[in-house]
Amino acid sequence: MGYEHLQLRRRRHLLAALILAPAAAAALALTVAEVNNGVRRARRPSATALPLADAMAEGDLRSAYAAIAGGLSPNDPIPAYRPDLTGESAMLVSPVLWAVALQNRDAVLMLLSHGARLSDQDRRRAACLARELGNDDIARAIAEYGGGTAEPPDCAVDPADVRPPLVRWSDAEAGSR
Amino acid sequence: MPSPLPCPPDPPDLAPAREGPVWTAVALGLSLPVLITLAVVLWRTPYPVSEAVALFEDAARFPPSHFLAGDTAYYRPLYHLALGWIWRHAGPLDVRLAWVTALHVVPVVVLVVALVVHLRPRSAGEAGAAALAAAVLVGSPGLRDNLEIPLAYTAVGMPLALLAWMLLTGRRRPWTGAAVLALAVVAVGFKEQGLVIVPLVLVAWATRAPGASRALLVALLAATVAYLAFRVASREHWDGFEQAVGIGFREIEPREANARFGAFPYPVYAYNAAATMASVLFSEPTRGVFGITWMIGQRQARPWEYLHLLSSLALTTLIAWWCVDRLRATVRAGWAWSPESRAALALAGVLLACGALSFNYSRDRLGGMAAPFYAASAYFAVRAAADRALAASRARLVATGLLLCALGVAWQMRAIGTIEYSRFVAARNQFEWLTQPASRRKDFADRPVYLDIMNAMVAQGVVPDAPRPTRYPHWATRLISLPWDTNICSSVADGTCWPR
Repeated sequence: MGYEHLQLRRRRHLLAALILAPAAAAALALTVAEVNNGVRRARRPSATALPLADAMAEGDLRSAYAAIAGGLSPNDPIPAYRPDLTGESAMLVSPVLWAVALQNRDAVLMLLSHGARLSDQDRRRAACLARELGNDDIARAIAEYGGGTAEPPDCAVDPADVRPPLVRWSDAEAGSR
Repeated sequence: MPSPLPCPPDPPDLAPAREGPVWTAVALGLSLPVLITLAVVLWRTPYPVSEAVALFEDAARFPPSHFLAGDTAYYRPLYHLALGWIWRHAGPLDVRLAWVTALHVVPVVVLVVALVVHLRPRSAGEAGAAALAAAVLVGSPGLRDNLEIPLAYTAVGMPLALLAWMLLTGRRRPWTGAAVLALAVVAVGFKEQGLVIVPLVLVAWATRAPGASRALLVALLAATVAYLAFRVASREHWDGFEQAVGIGFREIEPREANARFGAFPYPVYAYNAAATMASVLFSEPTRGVFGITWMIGQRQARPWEYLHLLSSLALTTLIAWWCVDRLRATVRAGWAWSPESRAALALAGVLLACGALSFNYSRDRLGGMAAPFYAASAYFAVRAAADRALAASRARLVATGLLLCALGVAWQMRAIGTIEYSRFVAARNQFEWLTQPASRRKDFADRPVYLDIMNAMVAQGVVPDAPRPTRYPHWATRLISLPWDTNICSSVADGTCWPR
């Protein structure tokens, strides 16, 4: 009786341990993971540490928004540099035009949703740049949500001008300021 | 009222009973990390732009009587009345939003806690089985698909159905019938899926559950007939198909579904009902579409798809064995119903009701009302398998233990998957708030109330600490099912969403 009872107890304990183990392991693992997450979040530099131009270039929309929420006007020119877009030197460019050059439609919509205001000239340049880059989606977004009329802009360019499209349109922008 | 008969004994306990709530507390303690994490994620989730703002606009614009009119395919008067009351009386916007979130989060917490309390484990093994049942509930597609804030319709109904069942199977008190009736009315008022309480009462009465009575059954049936008559009489025209319908390996839009099947929709209705029941039992199909099966056929299935399919298949097989075993025992005992055989029949009744109520289109969320009963059945089935193994050879004991352990691991992974899915939804909602206000300001220019609410809600939508999916190791991420979204995921070779 005593031996059988002991055997039954051991079998029960084995079975109970095997059934309990996953729940205990999951509870422990989740607790560790959540605490670890919290610590990592607390140690991570704030999202605003990433400059707006870089955040948009990396497709990090939250950081891009954080830069604006941190006080940067979405209408002020920002320094940007990427050789294939800006040529060999950094340049000042409006955030919307930079987002268009990056062909980042979500960044364009984010800027328009959170304070970017386009003059007729800005809108024309952004739409023309999008078209020149072959991105009709962005051109449509600019036309629909950038304010003003939805009429297609005149995007005639000087065929002799072989500079990157952003530089060309941005230059024109600088000329108008 | 049928006289109660002696019940056949349920299987012996997995370990000697220890009185008191110790093992219930252990089971709850093991389930708490998942539950608390899920509740915190839901609490911090930004509202979606789509649906939420329009719902709040309705709450702000219309008087309560507007929501009582039955001329709609989606009749949820108590939900809208609750929303309207909060909107008009709860004070500033952030307080209102907190109350609406609480309307969703509190029922989810109550549901899981009520399940464990209902199961009342009395040993270490039973506590493990109860924790597994809680994981089954949290990891089920039926619950996961009902976590989208603020659409709390079924999330409110699920605990109400479980509480009704607890009352029906518990000791009868003078107020039991009235309480069950009230729970049913509230559940149906939040969504018609609350009607699953009707078969629950039917099962409880037919199996001579202590809390069920003929008077309750008659009152509930009368109320159901009145409700259905009101719904049918209130609507002048019913479309054959209200939403997209999944059939086989593809989904078809309502217009096409009406054109193709509108003249004789009943076979598709039957398919939809079966698809919803199958989604509870096998996690496949989803929305009527056999997506996992297709991926396996194409040799493109990802680990989480195997995990979902196999864990559901294994658990449903175990539950089916337990159901047959318990029902046989009931027959052998001269139709004397035990709590377990009653629970088996309740699962069948709730499943059939969920199927019937989703005849028009199948969605995972429409199986949500069956999820607590599936989870409770998982508890009983695991306990029965373990008890059977105790009397078997050592090899069978170890094999059964290892299989139950594997089942537990799989469902715990799925429960964690639900948390990550909720985080994914939070990130997706935030993305909407970052990118959609400009288009909505133009598209909804003729709805000033909508725009006022949307503009006021931007701040909660773009909070920097909104939840985002956790960057688990790759092997773990592959076992968690997240939809692909380029704004939230970065690329992994097999298409698994690797959070940015």
